[in-house]
Amino acid sequence: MSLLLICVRLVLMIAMLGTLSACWKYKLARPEHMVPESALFPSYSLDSPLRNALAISNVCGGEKTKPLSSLPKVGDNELHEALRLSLSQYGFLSASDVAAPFRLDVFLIALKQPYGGLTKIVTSVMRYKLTRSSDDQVVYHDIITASYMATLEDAFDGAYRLKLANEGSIRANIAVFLRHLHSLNIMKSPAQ
Amino acid sequence: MMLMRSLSEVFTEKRIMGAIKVLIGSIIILTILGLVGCARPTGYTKASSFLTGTTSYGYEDKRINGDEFSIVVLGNTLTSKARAAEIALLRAAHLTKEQGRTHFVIIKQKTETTEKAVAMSIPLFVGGVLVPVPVGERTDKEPMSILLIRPLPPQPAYPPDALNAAEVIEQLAKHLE
Repeated sequence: MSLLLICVRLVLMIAMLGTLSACWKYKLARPEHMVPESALFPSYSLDSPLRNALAISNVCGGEKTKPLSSLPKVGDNELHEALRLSLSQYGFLSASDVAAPFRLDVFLIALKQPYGGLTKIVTSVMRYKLTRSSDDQVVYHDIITASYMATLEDAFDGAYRLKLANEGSIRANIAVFLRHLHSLNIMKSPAQ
Repeated sequence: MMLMRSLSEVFTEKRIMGAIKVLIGSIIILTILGLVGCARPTGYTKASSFLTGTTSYGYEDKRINGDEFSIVVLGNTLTSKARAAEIALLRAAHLTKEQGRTHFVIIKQKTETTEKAVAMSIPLFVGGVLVPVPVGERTDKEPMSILLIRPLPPQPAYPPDALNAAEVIEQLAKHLE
């Protein structure tokens, strides 16, 4: 009898842990959903010094989504992966981290999330710093803010809606940065 | 005897229900009065996320790397962009002093307007109790000021763009704190 009780408890505990794990994964930001859509950008110049020239040096400031919290956040790893996918997709990412002519540092200064409410507007504030490796000169340094609104039409579940707003906000932020990169007029090395 | 008892029970139930209604009504009135009382621009206060996990009005700061800090100030709808920027500057000065420094430089600054969806409701009597019923949403505009600073280590002569933390506090603290 006691063995049966232990088994039942064990099964219940495993089921509860499984549910918690599923809920936690459900709230995690998805890097592939934070990559801007290609339609937003003009065709990229093949002779730009930034083509295949960027290495992601440091990404921080993010906050991990806690398993027991109802609030989805954006962690450093997810942000790093989203940036890597974005830079790669638009031809900026260098094949080698060591030999890359430019280093990119990104810091998630803030992710402003709303209290409750039906419509979730999330604003992300990110600092981008691009340094030329050859002379350690900062060639681009800016703070970009971007917002995204998720409504009831996007998702009925509030936590999921907030996750969509988080992802949308980061996606919009990276899109602005990529647009800046497109219009940036810099040289690979000071001697050029 | 039975009739007397049941009447007494009904009377007691009615009294309890009445007390509950008065209590709920009082809470709603106090909440409304509290909200009206709070209707003033954001002051120099830390944005607290203790209960909700989300950010409220005020400043928040983060260390970016060894010697750089970011400060973000979110103001309510009654707060001007200039006031939000002043709160950020005052926090920068306090942060500099907390680091044991006297001067700091501003690396980057930005002031923007953000949007916030606010639920609108009308009070309706439901079962004799005043209940706020949601009727829609409006979008409020709120100022957000962002500052990147670097507190400077002690040196004989500070660069011309360096700000004296004590002077900033003296100038801004009076009308912000």
